[in-house]
Amino acid sequence: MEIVVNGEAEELISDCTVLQLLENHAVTIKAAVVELNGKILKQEHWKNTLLQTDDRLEILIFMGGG
Amino acid sequence: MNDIIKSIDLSEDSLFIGGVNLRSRLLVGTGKFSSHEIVPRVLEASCAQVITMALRRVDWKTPQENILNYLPQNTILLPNTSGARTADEAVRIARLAKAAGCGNWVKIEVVQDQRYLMPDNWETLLATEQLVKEGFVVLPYMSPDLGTAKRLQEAGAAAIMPLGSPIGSNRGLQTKELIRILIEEIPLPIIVDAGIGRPSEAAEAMEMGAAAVLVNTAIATACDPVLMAQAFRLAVMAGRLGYLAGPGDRRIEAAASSPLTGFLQEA
Amino acid sequence: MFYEQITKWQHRLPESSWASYSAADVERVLARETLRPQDLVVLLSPAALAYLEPMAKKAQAITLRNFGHTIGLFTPLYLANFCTNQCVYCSFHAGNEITRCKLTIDEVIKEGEAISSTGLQHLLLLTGESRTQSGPAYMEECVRALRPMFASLGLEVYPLSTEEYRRLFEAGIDSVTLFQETYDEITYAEVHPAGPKRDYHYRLEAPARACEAGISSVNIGALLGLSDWRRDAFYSALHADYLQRNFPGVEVSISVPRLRPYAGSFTSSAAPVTDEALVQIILAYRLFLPRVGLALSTRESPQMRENLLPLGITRLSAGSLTSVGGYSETDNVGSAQFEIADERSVPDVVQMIRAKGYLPAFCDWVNMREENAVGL
Repeated sequence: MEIVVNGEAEELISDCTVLQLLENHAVTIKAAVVELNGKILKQEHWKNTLLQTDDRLEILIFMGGG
Repeated sequence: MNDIIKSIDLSEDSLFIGGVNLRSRLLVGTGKFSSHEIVPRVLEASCAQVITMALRRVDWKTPQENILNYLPQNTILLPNTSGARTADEAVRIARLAKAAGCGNWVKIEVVQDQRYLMPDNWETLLATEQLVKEGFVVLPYMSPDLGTAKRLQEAGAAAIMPLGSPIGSNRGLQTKELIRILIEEIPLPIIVDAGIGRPSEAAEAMEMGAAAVLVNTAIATACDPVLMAQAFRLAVMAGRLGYLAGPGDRRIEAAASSPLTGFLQEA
Repeated sequence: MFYEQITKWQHRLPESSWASYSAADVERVLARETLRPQDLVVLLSPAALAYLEPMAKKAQAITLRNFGHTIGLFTPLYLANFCTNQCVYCSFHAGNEITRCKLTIDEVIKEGEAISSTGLQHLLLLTGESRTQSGPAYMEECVRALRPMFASLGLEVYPLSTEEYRRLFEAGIDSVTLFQETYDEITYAEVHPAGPKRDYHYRLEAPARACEAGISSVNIGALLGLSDWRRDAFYSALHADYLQRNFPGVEVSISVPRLRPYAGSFTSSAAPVTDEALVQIILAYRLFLPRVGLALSTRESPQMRENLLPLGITRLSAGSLTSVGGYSETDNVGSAQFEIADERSVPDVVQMIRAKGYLPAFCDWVNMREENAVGL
């Protein structure tokens, strides 16, 4: 199924939770932020939120800034 | 030298913002560094307690490092909303930052002008109003306009952050007169942010009565960022001490005659 | 409310310790660019008397930068002198046997024509305090009658409500003058034994109400000499500062009337305001408030007015009468409020201003709210 992550299309082969997606891409979990379909998804929900077709994800982390 | 620094007691002169007593009046940004590794040493040399950072999309292709891994334990995180072009975007970024669990402070930075990176005062005001309502400690970065600053104060901003000169320009206090007016008229901490290029400029801002300064580019792009951070720390302290000590008297010129008030003796 | 400022400073303002300030304190204040209230205290203290010339130089330079060489001209028109107050220092005191009268609208128009033929475009309208004889409705009628003739109409009457100010603003008033007389509550009660003017607080907050109603400029001040002039000058300046800060769109000015001979027998127990004191007050006002207007009336003599002009004054009244009517050849002339010391005609005052190197301005206001706007 196809979802959108950070504005780009991403193909998912099998069922996947948000947490699994992050782990697959080696994203440091600490202080990453996830927005699912425009709503903030709290960390505690990542492991039991299954991704659906056409879901839009924004995954952000803190970078250096002024 | 260290003994001299240690003997300076500014503990009574803390800066109270957002419910916290800050000992350091130097805020440091974490952008533009050559690597994340140097950041902890820079922050340690600066003795900064409030550190800014930005929220960005993760890039799958390149391995991502979270800046938070490099920050000392007891710092206050001040995420900025850089990237936001409108109030709505700034509000969204602020909520995301809060959800990431790094406290409720936020620096509002809304820029529509990509050439000079001048902040949009109007959108900044709208974002401030909304985020104050949501319980954030809001520090708006703005172009030094008295009218906007008054409205930001009324909206509940915790401080006002006027720019000294455009972001990254390192040109010092080009807006000095306007900042002076804000310091005179707005009963909130005025934190000069953006454009401070040298330690002397940070000292100058503090001497004028600024509550604090925020420095990023000048440290990150110095040849020796750790040493520059230390220089800024000392400059901010020196400027603050100079302000507290009060300026010396200047000689009043004696007048040989009294052309304007002489008539009082003639009667 | 401005009263909060007064209570805050009452504890801090030295009673008999004005003498505690030294020459060094004055020099430190004169070296500052922006003055705070505590600096104003120093400038009003006896120690500043030795520094009048340097204060004057600085005041003149500031006035020149902010106002140029312009001196605005205006004159008062007393519409009525019926009064229910018993202010001990005033000719219009309800108990005084004076000729009371009130101008009819026809007479108002005649007076207006006489005044505007001198070229004056800023007219200040005054009445005594009597809601029956000269209430807001009467004032409004006069304002509407005079509006086509003058670029700017000001009102110096008893304190009104915000709504009343708003209605008069809509009728054509752009400026309100109201003197607190004295900011000292005890003296205030003593000199206002009876009548609505007894209400210190209602009067105190009236300028702010006028600002809220949309008035474009306010003129305030104390009647110097009624009470301790140092304190009254301090609070007058603080009041102006308060209005400037809270109503940034309003032009604020201060007047410096000194107690003058009038019909009655009151003598103030406070120290008289000497010429030096008046100079000190004007200079202190200018240094503390670089952008406030300073208005001088014809209470002062011609020589005094000429000498004070370069010290920071920005507005002068000219060709004034403080009787009711009298500008035109009408019979209805009520008694005057106080003696005028400078009786020079408008052309003579204009000549004096020019001789001192200043530019007399008959009109610096354009009334945009009328189709037949005067002043363009």
